[in-house]
Amino acid sequence: MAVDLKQFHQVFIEESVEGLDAMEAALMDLDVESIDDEVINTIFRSAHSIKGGAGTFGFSALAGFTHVLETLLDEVRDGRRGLQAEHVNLLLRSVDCMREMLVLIDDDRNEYTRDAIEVQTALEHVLGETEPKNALCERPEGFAGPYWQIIFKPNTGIIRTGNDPLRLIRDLCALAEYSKVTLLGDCPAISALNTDDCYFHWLIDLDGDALDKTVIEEVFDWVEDDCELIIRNRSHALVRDDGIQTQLNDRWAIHFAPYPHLFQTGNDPLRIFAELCHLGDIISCKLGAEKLPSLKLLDSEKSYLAWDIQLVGPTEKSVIEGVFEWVIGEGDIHITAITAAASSRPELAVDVMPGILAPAISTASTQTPPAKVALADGKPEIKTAKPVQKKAASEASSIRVGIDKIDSLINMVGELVITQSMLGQLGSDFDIASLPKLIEGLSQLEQNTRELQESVMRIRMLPISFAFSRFPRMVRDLGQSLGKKIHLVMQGENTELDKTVMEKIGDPLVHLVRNSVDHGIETAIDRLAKGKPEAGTVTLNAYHQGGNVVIEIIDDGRGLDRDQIAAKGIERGLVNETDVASHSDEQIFDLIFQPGFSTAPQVSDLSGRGVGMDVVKRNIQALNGVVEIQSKKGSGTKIRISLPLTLAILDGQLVRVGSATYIFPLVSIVESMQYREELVNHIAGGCSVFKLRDDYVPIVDLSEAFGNDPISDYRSALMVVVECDGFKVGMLVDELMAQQQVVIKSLEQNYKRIEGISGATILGDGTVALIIDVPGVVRLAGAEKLIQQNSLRKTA
Amino acid sequence: MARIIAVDDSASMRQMVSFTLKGAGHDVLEASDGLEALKLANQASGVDLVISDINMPNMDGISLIKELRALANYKFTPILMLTTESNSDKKMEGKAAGATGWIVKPFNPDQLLATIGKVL
Repeated sequence: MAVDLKQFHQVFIEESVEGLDAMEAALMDLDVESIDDEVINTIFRSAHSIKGGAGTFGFSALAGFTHVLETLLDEVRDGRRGLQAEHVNLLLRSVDCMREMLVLIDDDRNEYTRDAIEVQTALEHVLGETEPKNALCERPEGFAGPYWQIIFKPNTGIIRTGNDPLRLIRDLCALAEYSKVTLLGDCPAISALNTDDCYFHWLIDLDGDALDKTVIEEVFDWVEDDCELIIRNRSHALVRDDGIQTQLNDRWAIHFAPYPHLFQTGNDPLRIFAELCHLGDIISCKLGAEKLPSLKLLDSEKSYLAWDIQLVGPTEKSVIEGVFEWVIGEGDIHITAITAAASSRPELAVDVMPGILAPAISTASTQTPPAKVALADGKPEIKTAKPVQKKAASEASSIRVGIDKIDSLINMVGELVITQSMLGQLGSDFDIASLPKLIEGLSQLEQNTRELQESVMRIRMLPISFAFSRFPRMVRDLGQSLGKKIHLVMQGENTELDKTVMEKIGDPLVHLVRNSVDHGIETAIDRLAKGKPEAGTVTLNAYHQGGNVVIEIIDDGRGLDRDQIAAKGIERGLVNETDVASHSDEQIFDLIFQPGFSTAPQVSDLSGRGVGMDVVKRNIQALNGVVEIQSKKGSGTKIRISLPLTLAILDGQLVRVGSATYIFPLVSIVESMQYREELVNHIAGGCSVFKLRDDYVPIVDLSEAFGNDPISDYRSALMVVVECDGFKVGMLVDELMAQQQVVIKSLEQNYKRIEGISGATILGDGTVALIIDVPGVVRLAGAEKLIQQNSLRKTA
Repeated sequence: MARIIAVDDSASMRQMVSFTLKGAGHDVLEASDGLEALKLANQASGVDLVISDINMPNMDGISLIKELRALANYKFTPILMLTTESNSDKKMEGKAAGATGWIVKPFNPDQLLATIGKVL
C-alpha cells in the first residue's frame, strides 16, 4: 500500500514544537535537588515521542539526536542518575537544537546542526562519565573494541572546490580495516536540485590499528574549512557481525510447547505456523497432545498442545526466532538445524490435525502473494508524488483554532443564510409597501457581515502567551550569564492578538526584555546596597484597551538617567541645551530611540551599543503601534507598546482633498476643527503654525505635500490634528467624510512603495482611496523643519 | 476488514497508523491515551485488535493492557505495543501484562500492515 508519509510531517513538526515547549517549561520547573516524577516524565515523554516520530517519518538526524537525549532522560527517570544544574542547561540547549533541526526538517532537510553535534557529544560525555547500564548510542553492528566515529558534513559548495566527498570517504575507509558509512541528509525536490551542490552528510564508523586522530584529520586537510567535521573515539566493545557465522541451512526442526496461558496474551500458535510458511515448506507437523487433560479437567482457555515441525527452506535461525519473538518465554522453543549428515530422511509423520493446520497454511499462502504485488506497485507511486507534495508541505502553515471560535462562525453563517433567504423572498415578490422590510433586512445583513467578519478575525487571534512563552527561558539564561537574580512575572497571557502582529512583535519584545535584564536590573550587590530585594523583577503585562492591545515591559531596576541621556543627546547633536531644560522627561527618554544612541558605559555582548532601539521603534511603528517610556531613576522603567488588534482592517476617517479621497487611521487623529486664519502664524521658510490652545502645531497642506496645487481657499478648509512621534501636526483637508472600517490592500505588492501612503482600500462605490501614513507625510512635508519648530511649543 | 483501536498520544503517529489501517480497509477507532482507549474499548464491540503506544499521559500502555485483559471481551484480543528498541524492559513488562506482541518504532506503513497481518 502506498502511503505517503509526507502528509503527516506538518502534524509531526507542530506536535514536536509543542512537545519541546512543554519540555522546556518542565525543565525550567525541574528542581535538581529533588526530581519530581511527573516533571521528569513529561520531559521524557516529549523526547520519546519526538524520537519515535522522527524515526518513523525518516528524519534520521533528529532521531539519532533524541535517542541520546532519551537514553539520558531514561536513566534520570529510573533514578539511575542524578542531575546537576549544568545538566539542565545542557538539556535546555538540546531543546534549542531540536527546534533548529525541526526548522530544517520543515525545509525538507534531514540534517544535524553544528550545535546539535556539539550538544550530542556533550550528552554522550555525560552518559559516558558514570558508565550507565545501557549502551550510549545505537551500536553500529560489526565493531569490536574502540573505534572511531566521524560525522562529515561538507558545505553544499564543496564539489566546486574540486574536492569529491566520496573520494575523501574512500580514502578514509582505505585506512581502516573495517568501515561502515551511513548516508544522512535529504535530497531537495528535483525542481530545486542544483547538481553542483552537495546535499548529504555522512556518519562513518571506522576500526583499525592504523587509525588515530591526526591520520583521520589529514584526510580532511584540504576541506577543513569547507565542512563540519566531528571526530570521536568510541570506547565500547561491540560485537562484529562478520564474526558471527550466519547459519543458512535448508532444513530445520522446531519444537514449540507453549505454556498453558499462551492464549491470554492474544497469541495463536496457528498464526505463528502460518508465518513459518513464508519461510519455507512445512514438511511435517507433529502434534504432541500428551499434556492434554481429561475432558473434565480441560480448561478451554488454556493451551495444552505441543508441536514438532520440520521446515525446509533456505533461512537463518534468527529469522525463525523472529517468528517466535512474541512468545519467547511463553513456552519451550527449540530450533535446531538438521545438517545433511545428521538428517535422517524426513519421517513420514502422521499429520495429526491436517484439518486445522492445512487451511491456516493455505489461506496464508494464497493471500500473501497478491499483497506483495500491491507493495511493489505502490512504491513508484510514492516517488512520483514526492516533488509535488514537498512544495505544498513547505508552504502550508496551519493555525490551531479553538472549537468555540469555529462554532460561533458556523452560527454566524447560519444567521447569514436566514437573512439571505429572507431578502431573496422579498426580492422575488417586491412592492413598495415592503420597503421597510427591505431596509430592515439590509441592516440585518450588515450586522451579520460585521459579526462574521469579527468571528473570522478572531480565528487569526492567538493568545499573547505565544509571544511570551520564550521569555522565562531567555530571562533565566540571561540572568545566569550576567550573574543576576531575576524574577519574571507574566500577566494577561490570554490577551489575544492577530497572528501576523504577534509574529512581528516578537523581536522587538525580545530586545526590550533583554535591555531590561541587561541594563535595567542591577547586580545583586548593587540592589542590596540600595535596599532593594536581591532578585530583580521584570514584569510582562498585556491587556486590551479600546481597539488596541497594550504590552508593558516593566522592571524595577536602576531606571533611566535623565541627565546622562540629555548629555549624550547634546553630545550627539540631537538636542541643544535650551531644549534639554524645556523638554519633559518623556521627550528626553525618547532620545534613546534615536539611531546609534547608547548610554551604557559598559557594552556587553548582549545588548550591544544601543543599536536596535531605533529598529524597535521602527518595527512597532510599522505595525501602526506606539511605544512610550516611563522611568524613574533608581526605581525602574516601564515601556508601553500599544498595537492595533489586526493589520488587515483599519478604522478610518475618510477625507476629501481636491478631488481625491484619502483615509486617516482613526487612532492617529487627535481632533478635527475649522481652520481659522487669525490663529495662524506664517513663519519665514514657508511653514506655518497654528495656535491650538496653548500649543503651536505645524500645518501640513495635504494637497501640496502630495505634489498637487495648494488648497486655494484656506478659509473653508478643515484641519485634522494628528499625532506623529509625540508631536501634533495639523493636516489641511477640504472635507471630512464618513468614518468606516476599511480593508487594507497593500500598495507595495500591487504597485510600488509610495512615501506618505501606507496602503489603499476599495470604497463602497468601487473607487480606490489611499490610506495616509502620517509620519511619512510629515517627512514628505519636511520633518526637520517640524522638529526645529517644535521648540516653538514652549518658547513662543 | 477488522475493527482496530489505535492509541497514541502523538497525533502524527496516531494519524499515520490510522490512515494506514484505514487505507487497508480496516475500521479504526482512535484514542490519545489509555483512559480514552479504555472508554472506547468499553463502548465499542467486536474489536479485533488494539495497537497502543506505551508512554502516554493519564494512563500508560502497560496499565491499559492490564485493564483490557481484565475485561471479558478483551481476554484474548490481540494487543500490540508500539515501542522503541531501547525499551526492551518495557517489552517484557508489556508481555507480563498480557500484550500479544510489539511493533518497533520507527516503522513504515508496510511494516505495520505486515505486522498486524500476523494477528488478524
